[in-house]
Amino acid sequence: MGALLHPTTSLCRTCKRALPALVEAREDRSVWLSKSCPEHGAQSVRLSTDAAWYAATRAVKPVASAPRRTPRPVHFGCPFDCGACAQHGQKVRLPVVTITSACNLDCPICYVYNKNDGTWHMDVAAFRRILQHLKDDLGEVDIVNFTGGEPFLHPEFMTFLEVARDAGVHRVTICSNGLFLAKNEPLVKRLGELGARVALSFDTFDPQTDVVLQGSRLVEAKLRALDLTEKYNVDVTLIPVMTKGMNDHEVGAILRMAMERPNVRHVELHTITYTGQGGTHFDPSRSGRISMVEVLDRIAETTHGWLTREDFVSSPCAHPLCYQIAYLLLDPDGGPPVPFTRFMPREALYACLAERLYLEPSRALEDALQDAMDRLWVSDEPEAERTLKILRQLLGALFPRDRVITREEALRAAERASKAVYVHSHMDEDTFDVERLAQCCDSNCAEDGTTIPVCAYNVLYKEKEAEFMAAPRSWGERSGDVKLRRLAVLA
Amino acid sequence: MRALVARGLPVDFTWCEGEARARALSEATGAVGRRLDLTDRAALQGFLRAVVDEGAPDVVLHCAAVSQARGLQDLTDDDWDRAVEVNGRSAFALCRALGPAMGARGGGDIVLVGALDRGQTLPLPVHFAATQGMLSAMTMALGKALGPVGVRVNMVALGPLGEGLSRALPASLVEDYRAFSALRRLGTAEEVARVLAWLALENTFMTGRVVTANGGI
Amino acid sequence: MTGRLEGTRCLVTGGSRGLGRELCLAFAREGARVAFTFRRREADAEDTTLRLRALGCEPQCFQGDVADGAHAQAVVGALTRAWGGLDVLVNNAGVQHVVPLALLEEPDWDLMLNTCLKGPYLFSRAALRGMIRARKGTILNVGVFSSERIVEAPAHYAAAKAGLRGLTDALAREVGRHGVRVNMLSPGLLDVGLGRMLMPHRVEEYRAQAALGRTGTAEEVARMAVFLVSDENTFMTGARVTPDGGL
Ligand code: SF4
Ligand SMILES: [Zn+2]
Repeated sequence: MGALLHPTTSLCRTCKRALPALVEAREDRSVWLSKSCPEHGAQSVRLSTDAAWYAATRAVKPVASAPRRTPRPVHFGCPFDCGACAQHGQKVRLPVVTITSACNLDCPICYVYNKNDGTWHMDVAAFRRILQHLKDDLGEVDIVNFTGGEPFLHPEFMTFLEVARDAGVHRVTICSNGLFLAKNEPLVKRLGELGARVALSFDTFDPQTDVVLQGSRLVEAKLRALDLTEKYNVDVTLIPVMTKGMNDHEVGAILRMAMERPNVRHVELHTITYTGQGGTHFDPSRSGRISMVEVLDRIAETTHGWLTREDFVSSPCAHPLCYQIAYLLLDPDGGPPVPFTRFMPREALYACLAERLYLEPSRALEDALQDAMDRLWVSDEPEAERTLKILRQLLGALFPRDRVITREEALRAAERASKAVYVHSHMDEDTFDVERLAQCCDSNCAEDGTTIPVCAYNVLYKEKEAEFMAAPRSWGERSGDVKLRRLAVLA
Repeated sequence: MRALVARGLPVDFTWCEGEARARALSEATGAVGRRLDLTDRAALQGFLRAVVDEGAPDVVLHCAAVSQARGLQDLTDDDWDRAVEVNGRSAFALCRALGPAMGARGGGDIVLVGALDRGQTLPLPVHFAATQGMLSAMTMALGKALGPVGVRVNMVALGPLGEGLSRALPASLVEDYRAFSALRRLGTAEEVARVLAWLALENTFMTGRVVTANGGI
Repeated sequence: MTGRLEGTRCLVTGGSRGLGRELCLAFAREGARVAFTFRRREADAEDTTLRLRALGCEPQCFQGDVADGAHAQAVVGALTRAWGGLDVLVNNAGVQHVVPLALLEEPDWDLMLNTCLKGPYLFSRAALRGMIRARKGTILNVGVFSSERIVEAPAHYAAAKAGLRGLTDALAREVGRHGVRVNMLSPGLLDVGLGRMLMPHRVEEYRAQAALGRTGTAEEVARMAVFLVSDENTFMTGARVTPDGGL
């Protein structure tokens, strides 16, 4: 047995009842989460290949930012009181709105439950109520993420976009597999006009891998969707789901493409989870499981070091083991992109991310850049000169001397000068850790004002909703006893 | 005051010593004059309360000031106290009483009249200079305090005029002014009144500031 | 009804857009004759001209660089021939360039100082000959709030505008005895120029700092300027007027 890192509460992979669990470091420096179900026996899963990284990362405390409203009482204990309850540590930074159960694919790796017979669509009035709840909770709603299913299959999809825009949401993202976009140029054009962004799943360039992961050949369609979004100035976040031995060797190529395509703003790498209708049956041995730090190391290998582990910081708005974030400055002269951490201290980047999940122009960022410029200026390193030159060009774009630009143009210039790489590790029943869950800031938002962390939603709560399940499950007797509850508090 | 009346605005004013002049002004302009001794705290309070009760004004000018052409050795504690009472405290009491009331009515302008913007170096009577510094610093803070309710507070720092308080300045100082100021002359009440009227009626975006109208010194 | 600047002959440098344009329009509304200069933005200059015409004012419009002495001479010469003289000069032309010292190169410095400081000197000198001869006239230098106190501003910009303040004071002293007045107007963040380009959080910061809780409009600042250059203003010279919302 190895060294205990921390106790927590997890779930049985079969019956999903809450179980006390231990996270330990083994001799080979790997980190394992172990638990035992009275009915289904002992279970353990590897959480990380690097105990030192795991411990150091977990030690980063997220900025305390509890939700203003907690509609659910603390009753069963985490994770059975979501809504949120008073023990939750983070307000919603990324509101996720599931607007349809319909999907035009049936991906083996899909981690959500969808249902195409008797499809359910959210009505617009319900979305209006959700926005109102969010406004009450957050003051302003600057970001909303639509998901499904495939959101474009909602017959009134455009109305949702307009409602969001009219409510002042300035960053609307739509999760999509891209098939619809590839075939529907006017739709892409309209998205551009409305300033909406697409979160495009993109797992591989290899047709064979494609078939294994998504069930059909989609590469061509996705590249076409990328071309069209570029043509109509629609910003894109690429969402590759990393599966070990399948596509993890492609991460460098995907990142390179992201750097080259001007409208790709972010890459959000997910680690595979075995939840959802696809996820639970795909790869029964779960050999494709990959941990956060492995993804970071694969990135370093496949980018030949222009992006490494040290370039990532945790998100201050979430549990550190959930989000790792790197920002990169693009070199207009064609040199490799420069991670922000190469010209500012990691703490500074971390601090700049405290307000929002994404980096936005702020006083903190400006100060950090100003410090960076001074430091680069007094430095003798050759790389410093190149970076300073890039920053000079950026300032020139923000404050052009030969013409007046609007604030919107300036913001766009600023956005286009950099790219972000997020590594986001969702949890499934195996890896479930209530300590992480209670610091989640991505929540699925419902009409009744409840907000449920997406991992809890996908693993537990969605099953309760008839809209998504052929045979909805009752809540059952899964919640823990008093002892478990105390563990949850401790977490 | 005549500059305001000339624009067809209803004006009230107060006076203390120059009864004959006050009457003449009332007759000439139709403005209502009231006697008020600014060193009489109770009277000032009562007056301000009455003004608030009648409905806060849109514009308030504070022009009252006292000084004596005395050297440092000759200044008494009473001179000091009286200058502070009239030049400083009365302006403070006025802004404290009327500022919020004006704000409650939707905002307005207070213009304080003084003599220094803290940029000049002049051999002024010490007690007078002290109150002028007080007034200009107070203007800055009043601007901050009353800005949020939409009341602007500014000060005009006047150069010596051929009348009024300038007669309480040392004669040599007035002569120097005539010789060395940019315009090489003293001002007139009429022309500085136009500056006051401009600030009181046309300014919408400046507050807490001292504007000089002094012929350039 | 006659305007407050009826027949007054006004020249505004950098008048094709922003505050300069609003000054031209405000002066024209009060019956002034208006001329303005611009450097590059022909379409904007055309637009200003059309707006002035709509107010019944036929403007004179000159293209050139304020830091070019020959240009200054030519503009003032042409106006003297056309109008017989000049009553009001507003030195408004400027450049907006935001850059920290680390990136502040010599050409940036020169461009800034030339436009914001040498330009006003050249135009003032050209205009003052006629004004002193006529023993009448006024110059208004447009500064900026960052020259009034220490706020974050690019060093070359702050230096140029502080220099302009010195120029204002010195000129006021020097030409006051000829009946010519020189004042400075230093507005805060407005709905034109820098105020339109800055990132939202900077504008928010400004609002939070300003006692009046808002940024200004070019129009209200231009309205204040009317009095400063008019004949109503006889005793203010060497003065600084800082409409900045109470920073
Ligand atoms: S995840 Fe948050 S809201 Fe849900 S039960 Fe745990 S602490 Fe409460
Ligand atoms: Zn079980």
